[in-house]
Amino acid sequence: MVEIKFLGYLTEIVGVRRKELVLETPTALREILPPSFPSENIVILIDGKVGNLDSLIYPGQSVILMPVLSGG
Amino acid sequence: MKGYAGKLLRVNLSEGKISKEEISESMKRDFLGGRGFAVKLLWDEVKQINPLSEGNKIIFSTGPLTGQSLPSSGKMVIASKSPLTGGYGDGNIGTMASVHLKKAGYDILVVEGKSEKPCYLLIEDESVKIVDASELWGKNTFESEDILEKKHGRNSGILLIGPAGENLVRISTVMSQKGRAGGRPGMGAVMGSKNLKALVIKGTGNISNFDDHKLRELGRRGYEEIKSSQSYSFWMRQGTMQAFEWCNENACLPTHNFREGVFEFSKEMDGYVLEKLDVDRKGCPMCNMQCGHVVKDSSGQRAELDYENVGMLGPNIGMRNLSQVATLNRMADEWGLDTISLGSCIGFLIEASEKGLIAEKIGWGDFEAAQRLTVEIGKDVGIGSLLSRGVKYASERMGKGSHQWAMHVKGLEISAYNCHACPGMALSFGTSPIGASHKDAWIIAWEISTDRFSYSKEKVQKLIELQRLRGGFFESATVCRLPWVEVSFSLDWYPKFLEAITGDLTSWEDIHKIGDRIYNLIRAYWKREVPQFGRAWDYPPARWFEEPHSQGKVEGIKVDRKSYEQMLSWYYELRGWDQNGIPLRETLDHLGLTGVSKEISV
Repeated sequence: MVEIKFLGYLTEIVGVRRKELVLETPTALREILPPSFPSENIVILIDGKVGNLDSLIYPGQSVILMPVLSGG
Repeated sequence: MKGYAGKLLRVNLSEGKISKEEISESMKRDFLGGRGFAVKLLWDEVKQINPLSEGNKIIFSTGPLTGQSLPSSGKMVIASKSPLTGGYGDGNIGTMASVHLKKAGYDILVVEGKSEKPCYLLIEDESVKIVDASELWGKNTFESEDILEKKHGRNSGILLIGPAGENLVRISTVMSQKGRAGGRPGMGAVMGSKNLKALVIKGTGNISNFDDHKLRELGRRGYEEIKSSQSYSFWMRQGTMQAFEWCNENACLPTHNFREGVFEFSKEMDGYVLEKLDVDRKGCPMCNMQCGHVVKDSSGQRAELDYENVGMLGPNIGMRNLSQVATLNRMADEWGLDTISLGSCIGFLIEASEKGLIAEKIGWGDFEAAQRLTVEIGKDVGIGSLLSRGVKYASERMGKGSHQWAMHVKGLEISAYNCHACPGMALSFGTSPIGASHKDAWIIAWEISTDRFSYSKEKVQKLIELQRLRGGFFESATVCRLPWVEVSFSLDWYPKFLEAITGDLTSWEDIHKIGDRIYNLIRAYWKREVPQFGRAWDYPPARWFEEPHSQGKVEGIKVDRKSYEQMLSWYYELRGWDQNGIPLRETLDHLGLTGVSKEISV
């Protein structure tokens, strides 16, 4: 099981705030996201560490995807 | 140079004298507008005076982009020698007054001296009058604005103070449009010290630009690009309040006077809760991505919310009910109090109570006490008089180690980002030129997306790059910075806007040099006005160095003091300052700030 959390406008792109996936093999993050998912100005944390869209996601990992903001 | 109204309006309240001056070409070229104009005027004209004396001046300043038909341009800067910090103070505000000031024919308004009686300024194009404001004195900002609007019509720009400014409360701001606020470092008190309740500005002229046709076309395309952004619809849903979930997720939400970075009740008051309470949206003029969300507060009244005020009047004081936070926010707006500093002051007092340093018992999330404290701070009475000068002063009065958790830098309260685990943002607060404001360089997102816990030189370079853009360009242009990141509005637009407006081809290199000139002159201003000013002014409070978070994903993390020292040293080196943080003579000379080095003896 992999848990993916989406923050901000990224929730509108995927249609949910949280997703759970069953992955049988390590899979690149971009392959489990819709094609319209932005590739820039986003923060990707995989188990709390900075990742990218080509990072391989392993079963059991937790991913957070959030937009870059500029404060209030 | 085109695109400016071309004139500075000067009103001396002591003498009742009104004059108009040409703004020189070199002033426009070297300082651009807004913050740049403000610091140049303060440097030249406001020296070694008590900020609440007749000798201080308050400056309302626009830039070439202000009020133009381009995205989010309805901004102005309000600046003065700060009665809260003793140094340079300013803030930007979105208001119809910015548009009207330029249309009336003025880029800058300088108010000096002190009126014998409460007054307001009525500026109608060429006509400028000092009008009796006795009937307004003592009234809150909402009531006063209604009265002024009824008298002078809705087609006017109004800036005003509440009772807090009148009572010389140092954490008072200038308000507009029942929810817009600007001038955190006590600009409201400066107006109050001059018996100046309000400005009412009505302008009917037009600005002469280099190429109006091109500007209209650029502006039209700019607005369209914003609306077509992938993030636009979500921005319209939550605005800056989306930062609430973001900050909690990244453990940088100010909680319990900045002790922790996560709040256990965050889901009860985040942007999604805001959406359910939302009844209206408000924004600044010329903006198609309004950020103000109006809700009904716990007493059924309208209150405008954004992230900063919810962060500081919510988790920072332990409040978990968004409607009640909205009530505190509306009260602060009515009194003309800065919501960030108010939240910090209340948080400070609750912690003092918890530690037994004051007799009064006030707990986290005590709504009744928070309302009472807001009123007492606004009136400057009771325990409010301890807090009305900010947490730095309060901690100096209280002693007993309270300075360690008085959350400010240079006397200005830290805005809603807890930085135990964000060393770059801690340095951003440390080196912000007005004290701990987030507006100059919000580096958190960049540092979390790269190498959050590092203390690298690259991070310091990024910080300066952001300061040049945010505190330099946007504050002097003068336009809102939010479109750039929040809806990915490319920076490439801005030199094009500048060219269509002024006729000058301006490169980013030129723009950054103006930004550097502004930062250096602000730094020199601090040095001249606060003789002991130096490196010690650039540190966040001990809490971030000595008290690690006790919960959340960054449990156990704190800022490493030695590594912070190294980053600060790099910052000075990259800025061309000595290791006490004072600009070197060659740096000042290189920026054309001739004569400045002599005044600060470098």
